[in-house]
Amino acid sequence: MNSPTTENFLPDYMPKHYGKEYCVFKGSAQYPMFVATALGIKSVYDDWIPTEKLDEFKIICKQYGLHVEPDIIFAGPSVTKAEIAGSAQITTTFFEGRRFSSSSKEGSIHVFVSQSKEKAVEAKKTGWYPLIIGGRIFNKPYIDNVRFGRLLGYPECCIDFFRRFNDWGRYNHPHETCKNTLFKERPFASFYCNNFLMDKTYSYIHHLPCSYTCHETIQYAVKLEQAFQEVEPDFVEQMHRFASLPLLVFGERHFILFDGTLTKENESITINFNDAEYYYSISREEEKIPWAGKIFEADTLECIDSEIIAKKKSETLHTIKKNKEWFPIQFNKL
Amino acid sequence: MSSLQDNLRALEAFLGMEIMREPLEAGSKKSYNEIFAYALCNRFVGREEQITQAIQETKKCIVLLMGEDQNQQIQRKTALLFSALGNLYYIAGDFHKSLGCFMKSLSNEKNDLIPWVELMFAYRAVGEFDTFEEIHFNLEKYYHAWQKHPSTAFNHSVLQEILGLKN
Repeated sequence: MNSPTTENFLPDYMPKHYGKEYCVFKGSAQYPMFVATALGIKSVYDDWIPTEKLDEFKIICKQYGLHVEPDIIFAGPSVTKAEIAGSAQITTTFFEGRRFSSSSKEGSIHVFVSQSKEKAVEAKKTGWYPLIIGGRIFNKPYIDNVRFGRLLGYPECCIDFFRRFNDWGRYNHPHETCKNTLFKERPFASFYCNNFLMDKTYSYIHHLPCSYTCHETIQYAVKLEQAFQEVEPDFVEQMHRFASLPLLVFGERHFILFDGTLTKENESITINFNDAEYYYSISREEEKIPWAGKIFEADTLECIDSEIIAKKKSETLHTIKKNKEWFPIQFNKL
Repeated sequence: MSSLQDNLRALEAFLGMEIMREPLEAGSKKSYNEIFAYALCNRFVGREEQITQAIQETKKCIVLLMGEDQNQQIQRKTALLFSALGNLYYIAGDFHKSLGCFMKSLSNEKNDLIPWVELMFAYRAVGEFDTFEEIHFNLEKYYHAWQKHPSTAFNHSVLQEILGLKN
């Protein structure tokens, strides 16, 4: 479970036809994954359910032919990061683990959901997240990232890229993805590869793509979009609107989303916007950018090589030194 | 000894990592050192033939170590080699063999939490989720129980005894 981000810029989606019970039960954050699994496009996905409501969730899943395999309880941390041995291994998840029993009520239970009980159990074997247990955090064996990615149906190229670059101490994964994107071949990023909103409803994918024009990712997302056209066409419309908004990306689950447009001119990229929201993981509060709030006062952002200039009505409000790993991006429909 | 040292050097070159790791003792605030799992995965994922060779070469070094006069240093090295071998089997997908290796690692080193962590994840991999959770949620308790245990051979029967599942 990723810690919640700080704002609520995007609306929850309420289905009219398919999967409404799911969204009524727990909101739409993981709705595309639920639908993909229920329709058999994805073989398994994992989710977090209020522990006391697990039985209710099982009933909803059963209506869609889905088996629910419970794992471990994620509870709010009762200690600070400084008190934990291995706190450097905390990425987007900062929770304490508790053993689950049928009488458990606290926290959220991590579950694996699939049409097949065997596949859900298989995913559970490798689908461990680092949790605080006994004052320590342990990562699962590194190869399990590869195995879990395969079970979740992620493209092999993206799994391999994740294996090489999802090392928080050494790499900024989105920056590596951006570098690996063939912008010259296709002078834009495909909105099918926009994973930034993946815990906020509006993403067809739930993996970190190897490039923002990844062919395998696009193929999967298009297949899911076609399925949505059949069962819930209004969602496709909403997806087009929100997954195409420009972003200023700082890192994984760390970005500003703009309600506006992005234009490129020579070496400069300009974002004109009416509204903006800053998203960061509260599991990594230490990475929060103090000046992010200043951007909300502006209506234009100019990004050049080493600077970000926030303007309002053409007047410069703030000039911010740009980290080399940050990048503005807008995803377009192919 | 020189044959052993030569073989160990050749093995390290082939594995792409030093077979070296500080033990993680209970109560320590240090992070878990996952270098074996990380380095061996990056070196051997998708390279089936090479991983088979790595397993053979690691076993060969273990046999050589077992032929040496046993002392703390030799036992520590043996524990590390079994840990590396367990990780290689884990990457190859032979989780039962990896379980056996992590147990042998614990047999040679009672003062290291890391083989316990490796062992519990191998139990998860074979679908023994209760054993995984029992160890994970009581890690230091079982670490101490094994330290005090009179046996020098950690095996399934000893684990059952430590976990209180056997009279």
